[in-house]
Amino acid sequence: MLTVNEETCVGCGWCQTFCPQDALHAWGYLEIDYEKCDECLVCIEFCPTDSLSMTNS
Amino acid sequence: MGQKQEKYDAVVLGSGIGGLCSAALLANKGYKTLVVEKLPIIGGRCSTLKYKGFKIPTGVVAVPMSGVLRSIFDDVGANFDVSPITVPPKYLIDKRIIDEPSDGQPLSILSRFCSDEKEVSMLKRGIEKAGTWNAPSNETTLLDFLHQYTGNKNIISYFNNKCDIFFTVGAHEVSAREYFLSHTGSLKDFQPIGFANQGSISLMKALKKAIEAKQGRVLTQCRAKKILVRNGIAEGVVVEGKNGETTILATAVISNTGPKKTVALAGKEHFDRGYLKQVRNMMPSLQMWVTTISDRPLFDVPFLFTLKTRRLLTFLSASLISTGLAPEGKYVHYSISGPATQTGPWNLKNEVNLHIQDLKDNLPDFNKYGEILHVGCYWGELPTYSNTPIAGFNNIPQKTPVENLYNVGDGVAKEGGFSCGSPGCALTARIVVEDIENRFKPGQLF
Repeated sequence: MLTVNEETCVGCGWCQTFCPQDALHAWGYLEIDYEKCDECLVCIEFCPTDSLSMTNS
Repeated sequence: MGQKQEKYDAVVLGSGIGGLCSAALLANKGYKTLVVEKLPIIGGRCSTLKYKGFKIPTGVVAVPMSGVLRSIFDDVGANFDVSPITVPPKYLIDKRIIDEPSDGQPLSILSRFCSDEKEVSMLKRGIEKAGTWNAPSNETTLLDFLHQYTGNKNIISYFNNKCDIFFTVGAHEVSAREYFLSHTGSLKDFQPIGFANQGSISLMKALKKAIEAKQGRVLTQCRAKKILVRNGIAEGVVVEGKNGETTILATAVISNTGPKKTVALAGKEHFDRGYLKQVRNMMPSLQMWVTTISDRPLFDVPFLFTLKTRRLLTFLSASLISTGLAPEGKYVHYSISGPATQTGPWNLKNEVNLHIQDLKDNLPDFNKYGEILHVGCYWGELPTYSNTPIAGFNNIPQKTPVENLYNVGDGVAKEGGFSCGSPGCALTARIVVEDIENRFKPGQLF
């Protein structure tokens, strides 16, 4: 499951622009739409603050 | 187990303006140069995101047409694809639009904010003296300086707006010294300014091309893991790319990652306590960028400065200058806001909502035709400026206590070097490359 580290995420919204599924939305903080996210990992590659990761849940 | 090893004259960590300008200048002088960037895209805060056919800046949107940044492009033969803005800005205050006077006189706009000519004249004299004779102390805020001459709310809101845009702090927080030294230094290059026709990333790509034309290399998705230091001297870096770890031996190590990360990568045991204290005291600043799209322009000039708002500072109708930023027939606009104080704390969601409310209250066409495409906040780990020029702040030098280890970028802007923005970052590259040229010739390690 895609997880955001709220301590380091600044809400820059870069991930939103790279997500092929349009599953991410930044509005001062990041919202993840888990219905749309297909765990492709693209957002993790492009996150400038290393705030995104995949966790087991 | 033996690790892969490569040798360079200089290795640059990070591909922001400071990093790529340094690398381009060095490669152009014959130094074997490598740039490593952890992300798949180059440019850092001078890059461009593409989203639904529109281009969104990651920070730098307008650049000066002349001055230090431009001179670097000229020196290294990089294409400076920028269209100048020839239309004067407008100001919105108390729901009224005020035009910039076209008389070419500095600060003549002040008379449009205040009818007391004597008060305006005294203020202008005070500003002239601060610029040409002696800048105020670094401990004085610009607001304290202004209050010697005026209490006019419109005039103060004008300076507040300028400070918030160029220095990311309002007049009540910004160092009056930095304000005036910047105005006589690199900030004067900001006339005229322009928009990169294909977004700011095109400028970074042009520098990359210039580096590669001189046998330099720019590697993306290649992360610096450690700066190697022995006996107080930098010897290179360990990087991790797609093919595992490589040791890069280099005579000079230039970090564009910010002083805090530089210290973390090298290990704080290599830095004296005074330097570590300066780095610890750096205060990152926050700005918010909202990208709005529409089928028609939402304002009639590229630059609208919004005064006396809750948060909104400026509304840029970028498509009026650069048509390559939006699909044909569409328009893109960028608006910028800052918090009431850079010392925080902030509720980011509220800050975004105050920005949007200001757009709704001040731009009638935003309500009718605008659609918000993207909201980007820059602070904390990815700050707007990493060393905000709040009164009392310290300028951190480009040279670190570790020999041959330099920082470039806004975190080590020169005093009066316009800490914010592209010229300040480019200037740090110039300073560092001149120092390297004075200290060693290409090929020292080979």
